[in-house]
Amino acid sequence: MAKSQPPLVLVVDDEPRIREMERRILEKRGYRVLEAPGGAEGVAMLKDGKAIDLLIADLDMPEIPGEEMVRQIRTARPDLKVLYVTAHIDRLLDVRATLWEGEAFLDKPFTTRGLEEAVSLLLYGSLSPDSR
Amino acid sequence: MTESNTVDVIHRLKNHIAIIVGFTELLIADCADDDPKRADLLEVQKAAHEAMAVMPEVARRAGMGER
Repeated sequence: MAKSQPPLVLVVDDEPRIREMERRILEKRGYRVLEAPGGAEGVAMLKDGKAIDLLIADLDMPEIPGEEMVRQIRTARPDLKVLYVTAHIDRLLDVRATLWEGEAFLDKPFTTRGLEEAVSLLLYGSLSPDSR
Repeated sequence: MTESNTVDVIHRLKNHIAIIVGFTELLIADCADDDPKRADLLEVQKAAHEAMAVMPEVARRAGMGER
């Protein structure tokens, strides 16, 4: 993670209102946020060398689902923190019985606090960045 | 309704609830304690949280078998 700059989060979701909501929640907490409307765009941004600290990946996207997007960028970014956001938690558990270190999931619908805590846990190992 | 249609409807419903919860909570965060809209927003938030709470039961009855 770059020093002196807040963490950079990439939100990938095909639903624009979800992306905007997540961006606004995270920007309120001081994070820098980029958005991508699909898995292909997400992969392109990650392979483009952007210093992204955390990827928030919707699982249920057309064309490239979230887990496939992550699979495609894992070789280049094995250290990337990933928060899967899904309304179908069963599907994630079916395809990924075990999550990697640095990965977590958040079940939709979630509260603003739920999102803030999940992101903070992945980036800082605590429920709030302030309690580091 | 087929199982895949039911799953799709529940997925869309969960997205809608997530949007209602998220944007309502963003508004509440920007609302002063004495703002008369605050009580209304808290009612929307309460209803949305109640909708969140029944989603596992809805999914179970639809055969999605949430774990």
